[in-house]
Amino acid sequence: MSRRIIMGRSGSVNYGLRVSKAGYDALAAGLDGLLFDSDLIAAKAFAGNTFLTNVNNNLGRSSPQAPAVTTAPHGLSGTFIAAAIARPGALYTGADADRWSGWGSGITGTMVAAVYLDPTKSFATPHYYRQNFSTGALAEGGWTFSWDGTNFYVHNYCSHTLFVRWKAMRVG
Amino acid sequence: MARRAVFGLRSSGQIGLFVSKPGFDADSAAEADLIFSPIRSHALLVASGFVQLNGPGVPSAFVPFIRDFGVIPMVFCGGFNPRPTTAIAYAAAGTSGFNAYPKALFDGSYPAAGSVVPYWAWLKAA
Repeated sequence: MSRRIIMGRSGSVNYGLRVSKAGYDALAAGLDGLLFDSDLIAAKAFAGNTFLTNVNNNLGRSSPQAPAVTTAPHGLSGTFIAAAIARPGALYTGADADRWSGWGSGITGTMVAAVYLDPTKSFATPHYYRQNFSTGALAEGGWTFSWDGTNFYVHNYCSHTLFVRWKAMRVG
Repeated sequence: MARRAVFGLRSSGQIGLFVSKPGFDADSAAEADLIFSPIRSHALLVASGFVQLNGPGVPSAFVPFIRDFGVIPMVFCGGFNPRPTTAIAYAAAGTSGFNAYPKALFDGSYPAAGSVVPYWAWLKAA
């Protein structure tokens, strides 16, 4: 029977803690056979929350390339990696969930870019489009997610708010 | 020699399983120097793999989680390499699984339709 857990010392070798997958020996298994190895830094999902972004009010105006920027303090310190997904915000009730910012002679108003079939639970990862039309007009859409030591930032090119769900992992 | 793992009572009075980074004593290490502790939550990868997308508005085959978690995991799906991509997908997730859909571009096209995209879902342990 294979050892699923090794904790402490084995022979002349010191081990912290190793946990193997079913069917693998925790002492001999390679990385692919381990669920946990204390010689490697496991990710800690130490924080997560949600926030609502601002809406892009530049649609069809002179500066669609200037998205609505939402700043959300994360309150975290140290080195971390954050990941986010978003769906149409709570204030958005329509079916068209992602629109383009139109600018120039080739585009007027807004352009439908996608339909979220269920705006209550349909989450997309960050995405961003920029298109140069043959007319020379620009169009941009989507959203981006970034952070620094103090805040998260969402650049929203959509014509509606975004409900952003994020989690942060500490990896060091 | 540093104790890499303590199962039970630490000198501080805390009880649980504590695993330290190499070079740190699991009995006295600060939280930042612990790889595993009962104090902080950990990322739980509850599902990963690939899913076949269908056409516009047509859900993929339902991808079940191993069980109903009672909360909705964060589901990422789509072409992650390279980023950003115009072949975008999104997931409609519930507590027991999700369906994936291709997402349209400005011109109404669905570049991701019919493609096979990776996904991963994770929860934060309480």
